[in-house]
This record gives sequence, structure tokens and C-alpha cells, in this order.
Amino acid sequence: MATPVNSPLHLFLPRWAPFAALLAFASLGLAMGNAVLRVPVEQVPDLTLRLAALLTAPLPLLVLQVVSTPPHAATRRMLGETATQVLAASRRDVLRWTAVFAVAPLAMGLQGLRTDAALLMHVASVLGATVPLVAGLSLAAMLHGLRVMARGKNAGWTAVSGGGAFGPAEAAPLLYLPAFALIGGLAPVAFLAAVWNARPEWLTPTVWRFLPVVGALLGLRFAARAVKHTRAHVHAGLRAAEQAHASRFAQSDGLAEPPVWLTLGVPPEPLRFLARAWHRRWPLSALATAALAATTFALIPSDAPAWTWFVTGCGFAFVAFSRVLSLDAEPAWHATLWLGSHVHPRRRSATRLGFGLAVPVLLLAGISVWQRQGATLLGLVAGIALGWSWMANTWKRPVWIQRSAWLVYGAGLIAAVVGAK
Amino acid sequence: MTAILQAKGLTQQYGTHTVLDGLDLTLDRGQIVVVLGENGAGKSTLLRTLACELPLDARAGQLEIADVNAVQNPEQAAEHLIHVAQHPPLAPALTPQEHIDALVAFRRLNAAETQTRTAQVAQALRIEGVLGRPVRALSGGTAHKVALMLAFLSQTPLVLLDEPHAGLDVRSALALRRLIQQSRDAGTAFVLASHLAEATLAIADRALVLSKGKWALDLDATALAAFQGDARRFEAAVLQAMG
Repeated sequence: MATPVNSPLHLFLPRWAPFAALLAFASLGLAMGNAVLRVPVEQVPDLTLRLAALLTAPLPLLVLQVVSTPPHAATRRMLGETATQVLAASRRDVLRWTAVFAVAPLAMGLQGLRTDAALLMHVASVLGATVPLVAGLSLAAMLHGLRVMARGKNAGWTAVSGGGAFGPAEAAPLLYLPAFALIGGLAPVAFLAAVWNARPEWLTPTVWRFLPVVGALLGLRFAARAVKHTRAHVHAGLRAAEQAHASRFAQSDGLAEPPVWLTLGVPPEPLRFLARAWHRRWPLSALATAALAATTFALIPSDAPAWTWFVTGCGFAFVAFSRVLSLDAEPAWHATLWLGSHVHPRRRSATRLGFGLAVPVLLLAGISVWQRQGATLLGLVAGIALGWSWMANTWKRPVWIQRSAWLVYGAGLIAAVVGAK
Repeated sequence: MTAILQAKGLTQQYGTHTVLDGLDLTLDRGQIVVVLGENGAGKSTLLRTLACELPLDARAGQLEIADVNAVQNPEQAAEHLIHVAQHPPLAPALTPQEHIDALVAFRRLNAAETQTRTAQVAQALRIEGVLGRPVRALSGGTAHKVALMLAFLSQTPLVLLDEPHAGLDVRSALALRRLIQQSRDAGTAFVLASHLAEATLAIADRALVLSKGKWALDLDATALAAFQGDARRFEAAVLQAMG
């Protein structure tokens, strides 16, 4: 049976959206690569590392969303889509979005390559190693949150996936493997940065010239082994999910949808949400995007480190703060109750998860104070304001709260732009 | 008339609690069956079972929908029905029109015909002005009407509606009644879970009272006709059956 591909619920966004995203991310990568080209040689590795971390930071969230239960499965099933079609759509989604997110780092890498092989040399500051560490911590907090939300206390991984509480146990790799892969990928980068800071004399230019080659070979070998060892698990997970859906037991309330349990309800999948908003506001959205792109091109080369630190702080604060706020949103209740939690454990879970999400933000804030990085602090404040304004609508808070939050975010953004200039 | 639904010995349990205890039900095309019962009697569980949303095995009964064995092929059987639950799972970020587009794609409906039909149904339910707004911006009652509209547009031979009158104003409830009757005349069969005696008398070809997992009362069209114009007497009979 042919899968209908032009339904808005099929992918939750129009067919052209992935291609538009592909172009946007390629442009972003080229812009960042351009920025790398323009900075002095001693700043290249630092900047490259920060930009790469920025690009990879949202990946765990997106990968986990697309790999697990497809979005809006219940709605789609009500409207007549079969389980097999839902799962096939999910698989295509994974491939499509993986391609989208791979293109920006590739474009940046190609653009940023320099004849002096300066990539990754002179990781001059502790901050260079901070971004990957904070990204990893955020991810760990998120995964920790999943476990806590399932039981109201620390529990084994299988308590979250499997054991009848959270879908079939075989589906666990679908949830955790992409996240662990990212942590595995970030760890060597952070390690190298730490070594450079502690013992820079160990890493001579000759070593640096060979490192990319050795790293690429080891990476390929690691990837091949990982695929070999996990393929069976992933396949079993997909089969188990398929069977769970085929029973039609899943689509009603057996399997929670990823935006509900992962992002705790709202907002559903930021990229998809933005894509739909873009589609609805055409052609205004196209003009706004062009203006944003022009601003990005104009700003990044001016003072790239300050700008990237502002964006980093803003991003982390937004994700953490909006997630903490969403714990009180109604959909989160359904998710946690369904996960087997009750009212009191849910309260405890919310508190623990709140602390877990706050750790990376506080760490980033502490380091920025220590390093006197005003741009990061500004970004953190702007991110919290953005999270508040984003959630105020869902929360049904008074309009003035939302507007005030937007105002604070706008002021922070303008200050960052002026500062970067 | 040919049967669109045949259920025999349907059983569902939540833990040790038996919700459905060996129910039999046969539904012909173009027939409207209303299931009544107390809160928690198992009406929603029955509808979910008929919609193939709850697992069924051979020990839990037999279920055939449009001559498809729903125990063995729940996916295939479910293509012949649409179930609008008490809290229908609409996608909050999408508009009703986008839900309709998805319905057309998933059920392979004729887009032009569906658009024409949409205008009629939306006008009847007075929701033609909200088709372009995201569901999350709609009131609970309006969202419920959107879900009901989707059921009428689906063109499935079997429609399962859980508390369809809940949250509807008087005018909309009357419009819903007319839409159900029109669809019934076109051959669509309905199973409705409801608490409303008057609405039941107005549209039902058969009324069943569910109590303690079993049918406590079964009234066919002739028996229901005897209650016409006397909803209180009907309510008394239903209450007596509930025990």
C-alpha cells in the first residue's frame, strides 16, 4: 500500500521543508566557515570547536524525537494511517533530518579548511572545552530526567523503556543509542581540549597534522563496529515498535509520543513548529528569514567569539528553562501519569528534573563569571526570557508576562548585536 | 441488511477487574446503536475494543468488521471505521483543514468531494470560521465538533462516537442529530456511547444498557417506539436496568 506523502500529518510539515532546511543549514555552515576563514590563525581552532559544538548541541533532542515513536501517532491513527505507514514515515524522517543536520558541519569543515592545517591548533582557553562538556551534561540531564520521570526516583534504564511501563524493552536502543553516540563523539574533543590546556607541549604541530587522519581512521573503525554491534538491537527495536503499533494498543495511550515524554509536552518539536509557522506566514516569513540570514552573515565575522557565546548561553538557558516550566503544563501530567508515576512522585520528579536541567546552565554561568564573559551571561538571561515567553502561551499566563519576556529577550539580543559590532 | 459488525463473547479486563464480560453485538449497515450505562460501566472500553485499539485474542472473543477478522487483522479491520473518543487526539499545532488534508491522504478520499462535504458539515456544526485556526486555539467544544466533522468526512461504513453530545450547545446537538440521521440514511452504521435519554430516543434504532460488563437491557426499534415522547419513562427503565 502506497504511503501518502503529501499529508501535513505525515511528517507534520510540508514536503519542501526538509529541502529548505537543508539549504538553510548549508548556508549556515558556509557562513560559519567564512567566519573561520576571516579570524586570525591562532583563533581558528577555538572558534571551530565552539561552532561545531553549537551545531551539534540540538542534535540529541532532534535525533531522539525522530527515532522514537512517531509524532502525532494517535491523531494519524484516528485519521486512518496504518501502523506500518507511521513507522515507515518515521524511518524516512530519521534519514532526512540526519542528512539535514550533517550538511552544516560538513559545509563549515570544507569552508574552514586552511592550507596551514591549523584546524584544532591552539585551543587556547578553558572555554574551548566547555561547550562540548556543557552539551554532554545537558544530554545527560535529559536522559537522567527520563529515568526519574518514569519512576519518581533513580531507576534502571530498563525501567524507562521496557518492563511494560514504557513500550517494549527491545525499543530501548532506539531511545538511547543516538544520545550515547553523541556523548561518545564529544568526549574525545573535550579530552583533547583538556590535554591542550594542561600539557600543550605534548601536542606539537606534527601531532596535530596527523591527528585528523588518525581520528578519521579510528572514527570510521568505531562507526563500523558500532553499526555491527547495534544493528541487530536497532532492528529488533524497530520490529518491536512495529509490532506494538500493529496491535493498535499503542496508538491510543500505550506509547507516548516523543514530544510529550521527551520535551514534556510543549512546544512540539521546535524545528517542525518553526517550519509550519514559516509556511503559514508566507511570504512574510521568507522576508524575515532573508533578514535574519543577512544579519547572521553581517554579525558573525565581526566578533564571532562573543556572538557564539551569546548564542550558546541563550540556547542552553532556553532549553533548560522552557523544559522546567513545561513540567507544570498539562500534557506533562498525562505523560508522567502514563509512565507509571503518581502525584507525589511526579512532584519529586519535577524537582529533580528541574535541578538536573539547571546544572548545565549554572555551570555555564559560573564559568562565564570566572572568565568574565559578559556575552554568555547576557545570553543566559536572554535564553531564560525566551523560554518564559515561549511557555507563557502554553501556560495561559497573562499577555503582559509574555510581552515582558519578549522585551527582555529582544533587549538582550540587541545588546549582544551592539556588543559584537 | 448486511452486518457491518459482529462481536461475540467480547471480554476485557483491567488487572483483575472484568470490564466487558462476554458481550455479543451485531450491527447492520445503516443502523444506529446507542450504548448507555453508568460512568465507569465500560462504554469507552467497549468502543475502544470495537475500534481495535485494545488487544484482542481468541480467548477474549471474536470480532468481525466489514467481514474482516479484527482479532487476526486489526489494521485491516480498522480501515473500515473511525472512532472519535471522548477526548479526541487532535494535533494541537495543526488546523482543522490540515487534519482534513491528512484524512484525505490517509483514507485516499476524493479531495474535491471532501471539500464540498466539508463546507456542508462545517456549516451545519457552525465551525466554518475556524478551519484555518490551530486546534490549540479552539475551545473544548469547538475542538470536539472538529473531531465529529472528521468522522462524518471519513466515509467509513462504521462510526464509533464516545459521548458525542458532550460539550455541545443545543443548536449543535440538533445539527449533530441531523448529520447522524443523514449518514445513517446513506448506509453508515453508528455505535454511540451516551447518557442522554432524549437523544437516544430521537436517533437510536437500538439501545443497550451496559452494567457490570453485561447487557442489562436490549431495546430494539419497536421497543424504543413505545417510549417515544416519554423520555422520563425511558430513563426509569434504563435506571432500573442499571440496578
